[in-house]
Amino acid sequence: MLKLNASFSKKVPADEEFSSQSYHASIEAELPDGLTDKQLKDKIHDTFELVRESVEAEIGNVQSNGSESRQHIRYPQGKRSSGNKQQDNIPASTKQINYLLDLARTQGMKPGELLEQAGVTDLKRLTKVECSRLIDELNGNAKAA
Amino acid sequence: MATILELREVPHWSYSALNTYLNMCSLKYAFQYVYKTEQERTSASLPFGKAFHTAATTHAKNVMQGKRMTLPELHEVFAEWFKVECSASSNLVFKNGESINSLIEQARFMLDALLARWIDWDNIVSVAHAFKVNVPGLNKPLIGEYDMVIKEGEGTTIVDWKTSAQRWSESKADKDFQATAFSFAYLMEADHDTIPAFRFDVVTKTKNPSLENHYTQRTKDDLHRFSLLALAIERAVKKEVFLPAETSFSCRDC
Repeated sequence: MLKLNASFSKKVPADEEFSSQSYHASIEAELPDGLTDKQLKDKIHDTFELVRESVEAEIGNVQSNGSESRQHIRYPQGKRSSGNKQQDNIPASTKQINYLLDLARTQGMKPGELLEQAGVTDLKRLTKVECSRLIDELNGNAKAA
Repeated sequence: MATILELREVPHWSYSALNTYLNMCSLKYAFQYVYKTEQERTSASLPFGKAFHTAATTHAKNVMQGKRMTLPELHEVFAEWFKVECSASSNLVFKNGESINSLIEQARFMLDALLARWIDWDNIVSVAHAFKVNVPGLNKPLIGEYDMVIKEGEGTTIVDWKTSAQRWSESKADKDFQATAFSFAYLMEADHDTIPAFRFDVVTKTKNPSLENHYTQRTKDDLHRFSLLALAIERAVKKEVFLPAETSFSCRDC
């Protein structure tokens, strides 16, 4: 029997200046035997998505009860925050950027469109988190198509 | 149909990995595929080839839809992709006298040659066609992407676009490992029972660029030999046989 543990945590700025509020959720699921690599990967992806979305929704609920709903906050393009300042400053790796470019190319995007969506003039200015979000967005486009 | 990016998500073998181990340098293979070390430098010919490839793919897709691209349109596709690929590359190195601008200018003549000598106007079957096949005995599938598949008479031909600093010799295509790997893959795909022809469309990166079509054909013996080589490579990688090829042609870019 395979067991899958997926967890997601996120820190967001709290009401007081220089303070933050942590949200964390984890889920343990049992997976049936005999899954193919693709099915296993899909299960992991879906479970992780579920945990992530639950945390995001919880943050949204808490904040909409207080002040502004988190889900409606729009970060300036190319400056989206993960809520974790240390992580936000790590630049995207060459491998990440190359994957992003391959993804855009596969989807028939023009480089200009990609840079516009990224909100930067040079992809090397993207942080790991921003690049990862863009990859998720493009992957989302591919699945919706 | 899965894209090549989706196919890459699970463990696999590619022609490129097999070729790196067999024909370039097994230690280079280890750095790239096992230790996954960051490259010390990137030759400008890599983003150049990728951007040229993107332009050729865009053109072929347009032809499939009955549209014709002009040279300025195609050149713009190249220039946009080349610039963004260069800016994303680490420690980009140019050969003597070359620069981003000079290579963009060089590409204009090469794309002109590609358009002038383009022959596949109404016979394209697919463009950027990803494949995944099992090689008997290998633990991982072989994946890849045919640049273009065309119909020629009753038969099928796989086309691969290449840019090259010099003209290819007569025998180069006949010995090329990619043609063997891709012919093998095509035959292994469901509903295929004949070995396709293979054509390299080589555009030279010379003062007066030309497009040459190099045809080649593999036999069943060639494909059997390919599968044995792939098995031998997998065994050697498992045993971590990684040795530098001291006189490899790829040393200057590694």
